[in-house]
Formats: sequence, C-alpha cells, structure tokens
Amino acid sequence: MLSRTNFLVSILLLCLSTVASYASDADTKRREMLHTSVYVGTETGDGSGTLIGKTDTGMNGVFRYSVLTNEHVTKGRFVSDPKSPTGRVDKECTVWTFDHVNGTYEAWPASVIAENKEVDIALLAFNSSEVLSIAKFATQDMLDRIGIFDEVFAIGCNLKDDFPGPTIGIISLISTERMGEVDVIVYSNTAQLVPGASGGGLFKEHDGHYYLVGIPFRLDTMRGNHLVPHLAEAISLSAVKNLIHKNAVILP
Amino acid sequence: MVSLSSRVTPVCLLLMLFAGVFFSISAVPERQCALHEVKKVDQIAVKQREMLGPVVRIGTRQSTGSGTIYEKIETEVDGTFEYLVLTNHHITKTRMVFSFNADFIIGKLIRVPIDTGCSVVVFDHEGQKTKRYTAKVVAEDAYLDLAILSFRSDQSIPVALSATDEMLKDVRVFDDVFAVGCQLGMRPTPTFGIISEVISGVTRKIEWMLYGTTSPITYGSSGGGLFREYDGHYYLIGIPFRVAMTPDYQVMSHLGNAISLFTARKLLDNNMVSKE
Repeated sequence: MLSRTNFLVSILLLCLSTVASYASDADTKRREMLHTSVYVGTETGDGSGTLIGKTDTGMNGVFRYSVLTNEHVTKGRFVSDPKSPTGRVDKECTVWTFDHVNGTYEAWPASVIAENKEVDIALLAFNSSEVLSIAKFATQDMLDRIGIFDEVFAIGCNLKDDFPGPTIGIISLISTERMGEVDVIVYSNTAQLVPGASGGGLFKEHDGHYYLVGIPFRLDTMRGNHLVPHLAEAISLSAVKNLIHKNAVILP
Repeated sequence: MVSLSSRVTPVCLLLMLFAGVFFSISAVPERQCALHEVKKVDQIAVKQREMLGPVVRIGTRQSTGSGTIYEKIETEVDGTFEYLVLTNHHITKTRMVFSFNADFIIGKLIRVPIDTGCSVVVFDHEGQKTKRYTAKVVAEDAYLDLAILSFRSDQSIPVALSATDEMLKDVRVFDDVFAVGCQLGMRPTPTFGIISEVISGVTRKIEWMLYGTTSPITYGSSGGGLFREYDGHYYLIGIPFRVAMTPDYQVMSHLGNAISLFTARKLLDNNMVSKE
C-alpha cells in the first residue's frame, strides 16, 4: 500500500517536472524573442524593431537602448516641407515598448544613429528608465550553420497596430543578393509575415536559447500584387554586424 | 521479506526521482544538447537529400510548375539513366499550342495542335547549379490531373522514396508534412504544415484519395512533392495540385490539396510506362 502511494506520488512529480520544463521553454521563448520586439512608428509609416543593445547612461537608472530595424521603416520620418532648405523635415521616430504581462505599452522618442539604404537596415537609439530584454545575437558560427529546413520564429508587429506576435516556419532557401556594394545573405523562410512585421526579428534556437539571426524585410508578391505571407525574406545578421560595430553598440 | 520490499521500493523510487530531477537540471543539458545538435544536423541533411533533391522544375512554353523524380532506370546506353517524373497534367498540357490553317476546299479554319515539349530543370542544391533536360510525356490523365515525364541523363540525380500502401493507409489528420515545390517559378523550396483532411471516394470506377494540407503552397508548387516522415526518412505521399482562392483570387496558401500517391499509382500501373 505504501509503495503504491509512493509510486503514484513519484509519477505525479515526474509529470509536474515535465510540465515545468515545457513551461520554462515557453518562458524562455517569450523572454528571449517576444519581449525584445518593439514597434517603430514614424510620421508616414511604421514597422517593427528588435532591442539589441543596452548601456548605462550614468544618469540615475536611465539606460540607452539600441534598436535594429529596416531603413524602409525609418525613412517614413521625413515629411515634405517646402520651407525647409532640403525640402523635407526629419520628424524622428518613436519606439513603443511592451509589457506583455500587464498588456501595457510606452512610447519613447528615438533617433536614427545609422542607416544603410542599400542593405535596408537602420539603427535607432532611445533612453528609457525601464529594464527591457535584449535579443541574443547569433555568432558567425551559428549563422554559418543555418540550413534549409531549420526551424525559425519571426517576431514583429503584424498589421502594424498590434502587439508583437510570433510566427513559426522553416528556412526554405538561402541566397546571396548584391545590395549596393555588399553581398548580403538572404534567408527565405515560411514564418508568415504581413505588412508591419518589417524590421522585426528572425530567431533560431541554439542550445535551448533563441538567437537573432536575421531581419525580416520583404515578402514575395504574385499577380495583382497579392502578398504571399509564407514567402518571407530576412537579411542575415552577418550583413548587419559592420553597421553595429561602426556605431559601437554593446551587444549582450 | 514483504516488509523489506515495501521499504526498499519507495526509497528506490525517491532516489530515481531525485536522480532524474538532478540530471534534468544539471548534467544532461550540455551532453544532451551536443548530441541533440548532432542528431538535428544529420536530420536536416536527410531532409535536404530526400525532399529537396528529387524535386524539379517543369517548364513549358506557356507555364511552369514542379515535378518529383520517383524512379531511375538504367538504360542500355552506358552510364545513362532514364528518370521518371511525376507531375500534374494541368502543367504538361500547356506544352500544346494551336495554330489555325485555312482549308480553302471546305472553307473552314482548322485548329492544328503543336506539341512544343516540356523541359525539366534539375537543381544541385550543394553546388547551386542547375541543368536543363528535354523531357517527353510518357503518360497523362486529365481526369486524375497527373502526368509522367521521362528524361535521360548521365548524372546521378536523387530519387524520392515512394510511400508504400501501408504507409499511405497510415496518413492521418494532424500528421506533420512538408510540401516541396518551385513556388512562383523559383528553385525548389520547402514549406511545413499538417494534414488537415483525408478525402477518398470512387468515381468512374477509380478509387481516389486526396489530402488537405496546411503546408503553404502557391502558384508553381503544382506537381511537386508532399512528404511525410517514417522512421527517420521522408517519403513521397502526394502531389500538391490545387489551392483554395477567395472570389478576388487571393490564394489561401494554407488550404492546399494534394493527390495521394495511392491515386497516382493508378496512372503508374495502368499506363505501362515505357522503360526503353
């Protein structure tokens, strides 16, 4: 009788530990992917971004955060103004950060610190007193080992005005594309995207953690300009690293 | 004796539980992750070899689609092979163009069909190379929307593993599947989804079976391969052939249909494919 009770208790504990391990994986996914995603708003457009760097400003509890996004998202900050000598005014960007537990968000004024139109990447920075999650950057070795059929997650603010959300898919093609004077690796993937997800993050699991491997930037279209959400493309992080190093972003 | 076992068993169980929890927390992650990583890399190589390799692009004068190499036959000519490709009839039929000749005797225009042929483009996924072959249509069935092409090559090209009837009977809703095809005319790319329905029936005395799948497909995917895993290998179970559309022609890519290999066998068996 005693042994049967112990046996049942043991089975129950094993089940609980299994459930706990699943729960912790979901927590890791949320912490390392979802919580690092932000919304980038401009005067005439919007998209997504990923928090990639955090430095202490020296001011009491204020951090300077770096956000990686697409240039085609940040270029919406320019508004035409005939009175301006350049014919346009820079209205800057706004970054929205999200508290997924309480369902709240906050907006922070952000400035563009670097951008590359050819490769379609931009780096934003903003100051915040909030403690925010930073995405883990994939190493070059991890990027080199990415192959077709690898499982990936795309995180972005799908349809623009929503909280960031994940989609799951696989790498379907790896190609090299000439962008300006640089050869850029592009990951085609089936993690579905819609407008608003540009500039978000493409993540891949490695040793139980989720690493940023690319920046979703484009969707294929077919007849009548219908979008094909499962034919998404992301710029490999290897193309982004120069921009980040030049601008002295401290990666986690 | 009884009291001893009743004491030892709970102690053993508790020890096993603690040992299990201890290993799950500390020792296992590094060793298991390394092993897991090696297995994952192997599995991805298997997927690439068994699913990407056999899928080809079919081209006609008016259209493009996909096909899957399902058989390789050694020919009498030294070192050459005949490859058989399964695809859709709605792709191969676009090889036919029509010209109109005026018949002055009967005073009518006569529609003359001209077969412009099909081509098969094979992709070397490691070397990123492609090779185009001229192919002939050896069998086709407009009703089943299936066609068989053949081409000759001296190269060794991967051939899909065909699911057996036993495996096909085992296909169920919620099974994981991969669809591989030349979407929008690109090189073969995979998508992942599940079986969403299995439909079967008998029409014109022919037993047929279709799979509904959420594995996204779009224009150009037709004739490619739907694959399912059995014992660590990936077997061809169907041919994606159509996708649902809204009234304004927006493709619902997750509402795809594939013809079961069970149905395709009717064509393969009944049409006695030339093996010359």
